[in-house]
Amino acid sequence: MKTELEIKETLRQWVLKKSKKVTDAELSFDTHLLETRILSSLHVMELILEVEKIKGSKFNLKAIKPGAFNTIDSIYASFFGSAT
Amino acid sequence: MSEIKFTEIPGYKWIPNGQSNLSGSILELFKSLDAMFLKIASAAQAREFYFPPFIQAAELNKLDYFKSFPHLITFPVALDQNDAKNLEKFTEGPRFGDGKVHLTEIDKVCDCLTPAACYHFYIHFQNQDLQEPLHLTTRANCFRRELYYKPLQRQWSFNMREIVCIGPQDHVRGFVKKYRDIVTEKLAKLDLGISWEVATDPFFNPESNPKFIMQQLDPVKHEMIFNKDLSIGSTNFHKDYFGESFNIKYQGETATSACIAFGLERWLFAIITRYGTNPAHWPMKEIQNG
Repeated sequence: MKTELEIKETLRQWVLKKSKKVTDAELSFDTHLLETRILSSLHVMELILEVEKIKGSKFNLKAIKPGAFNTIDSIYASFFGSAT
Repeated sequence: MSEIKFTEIPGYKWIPNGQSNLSGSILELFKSLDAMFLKIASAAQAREFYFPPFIQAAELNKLDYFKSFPHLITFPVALDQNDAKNLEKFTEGPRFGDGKVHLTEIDKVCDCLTPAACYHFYIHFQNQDLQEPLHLTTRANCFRRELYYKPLQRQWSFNMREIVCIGPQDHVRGFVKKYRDIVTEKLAKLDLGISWEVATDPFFNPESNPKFIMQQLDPVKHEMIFNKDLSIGSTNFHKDYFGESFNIKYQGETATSACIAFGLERWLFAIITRYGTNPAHWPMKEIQNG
């Protein structure tokens, strides 16, 4: 199982690769991804698949809570927090 | 609150294809409510527009509207006149029977009937670089196909008054907050017992639509809910969605937008449910002074 830091860094690298709206220096684990539209709605759909891939299981889209994809920190807390 | 007997409302007639005829007292109530919304809009010196009922399909396509809301859209259609025989075929055919028109070939469909009042503004101001924030208002006859219709609550054709702001993010965010407070105060005066609730737009196949997922993750729509289940209006913070879709800039950066929407017929329903079908009991003074 990957460590918390490894998972967050994997997600950070994914965001950097997909979004043209943020640089390596600007993107931290608590950077707002949706409010600033660093990620578009299509990115979020892809990111959901990426999170499922890292986690190794699918999750119920209806059960995703508002705010879950606000930052890399909140993604980790929502989908990996209790498991690691 | 008791159920409305619609036949008891003076000046009201329901047409079962999802439309309402208004005259007399209920038309006065309709006009007074719209005047109240206009007064609310004037707090931001909103510029009023009139828009025609058609929107070019090519413009709605920029929003991916046909994928997101195919169940709601209504198209104006006409018989194809490129082939003169087509009209003859139509006139010589059954033309009408079994409650429906028997169309022959129809011309290409390039337009839609307005599904939401504020779309007209983003289309109108597309490709502009704004130097000042815009405050705008319009009332449009909107059309949304539904599986069933209910008088004043769920109509194929209904009136929507909107107040729209386009500009920089902080300004637009402030606009939404200010107007939510103003509307909350008006609603309290009318004692309609409204609650504000987070909502999403009625997407087709929502779970496979990224826009729906986004609205779920980052709520941008708040509805004014009457009687626990009827939305009579909403605030919508679009962020730069329309700015990007229609290339609207604010001082060189993609513009942000938001709108406050009021469904006129649903407001009539709320007032009449709360105060009864007798116009003497309607809060006309509170509305007119609003």
